[in-house]
Amino acid sequence: MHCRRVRSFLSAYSKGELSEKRSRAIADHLRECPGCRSEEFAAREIDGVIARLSGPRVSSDFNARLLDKVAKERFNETRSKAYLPKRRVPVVNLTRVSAVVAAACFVFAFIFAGGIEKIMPTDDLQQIAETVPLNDDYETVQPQSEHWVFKEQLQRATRIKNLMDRVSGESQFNILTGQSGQNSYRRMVTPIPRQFFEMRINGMPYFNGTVLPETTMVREVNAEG
Amino acid sequence: MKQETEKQRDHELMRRVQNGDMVAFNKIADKYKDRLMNVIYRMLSSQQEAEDIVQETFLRVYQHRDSFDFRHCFSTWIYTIALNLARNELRKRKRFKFFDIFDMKGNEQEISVEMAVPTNLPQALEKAIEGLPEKYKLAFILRDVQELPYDEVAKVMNIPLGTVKSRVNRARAILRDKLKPRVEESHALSKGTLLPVSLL
Repeated sequence: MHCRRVRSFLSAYSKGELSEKRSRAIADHLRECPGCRSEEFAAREIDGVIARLSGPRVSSDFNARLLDKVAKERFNETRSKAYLPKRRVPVVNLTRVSAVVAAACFVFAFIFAGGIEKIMPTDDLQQIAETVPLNDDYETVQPQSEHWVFKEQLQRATRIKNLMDRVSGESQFNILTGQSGQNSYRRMVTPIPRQFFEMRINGMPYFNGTVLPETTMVREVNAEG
Repeated sequence: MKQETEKQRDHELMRRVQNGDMVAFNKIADKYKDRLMNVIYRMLSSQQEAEDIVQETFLRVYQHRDSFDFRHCFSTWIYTIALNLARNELRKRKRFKFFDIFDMKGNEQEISVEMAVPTNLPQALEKAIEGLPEKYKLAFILRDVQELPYDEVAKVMNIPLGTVKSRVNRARAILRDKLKPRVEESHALSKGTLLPVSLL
């Protein structure tokens, strides 16, 4: 092996980084070559100095300053998490849309299945309302409580109608539905012939413009009937 | 084997840091601060700037602790962060060149006093390392001063393993050429056959 090639491997040789075969070849050469031996000596000396080399060290308050910075960072992290903008609400919320669609389907199905007619037989009522206009012979009687639900009002009106029919002996009462006055809720009105307004049963006014309590009315009629 | 144990120890500390353990973070800082300082100082030649870069490195480690990939060495990661920050700093320096007022004309004498010839081998070595070309210097520092394995140096510098070996060998040869007279002198001094250059 030539000196030039050996010297190119000397540093690696002194650090033991070479393969066994190459190390042996260099060791053989060094035994015979004083020039390369002095080079190898220099390489080992330099390695020794490098190993003892004390580089610059950080200042004594390095950790304190670093932990201070990290503490600020942690604070910012916590704060930014606390003030993170809330997750954007999607314009189309699938859950809500599906609920709305289901409700719409239910309403349509209900309408087409004739559900409204079952609750409110509009055909008959509408026909009656059209064919039997209110005139002077009739007064309207309204349920006193404005908070009755429609079904209750209808039942009550039906009972009154039946009562009137039985009293008069013929069916000349009809039930009408419609909006009453300025109130937006639906209200049941029952037309009653004027002749019954003066009617008294057992000395009590049967109708005086207002509906008597339902129970009283039924009892009186039964007593009369 | 030793390297593997070190790696596992670092990973354990990093897991604790990810769980918010500041004691583990402090341990990591204690372990790596001087090593990083050693490399960065030799790149920037400024104690204050090097320390700032090392601080910033640890801060980045903390900020990105959750993105650390446990398949890799922690040391590779932290060295890469530090070297990238140092390179950015060097780039900034090139962009904005600062001129010291004492470097101006008329102060040559003071400057020449500061640049006196180093008196002993370690000082001469420091000077010689400082004078190495940049690409050789970094490879040499990481391999011979920091004693990182070649493959880790290659990862940190993002260059092939063969290139690292070649650069390190080249740096060693340059240093040997520069320091050989000094080594021989100190060897002769130790034998008492030569007067020191400074006394001549």
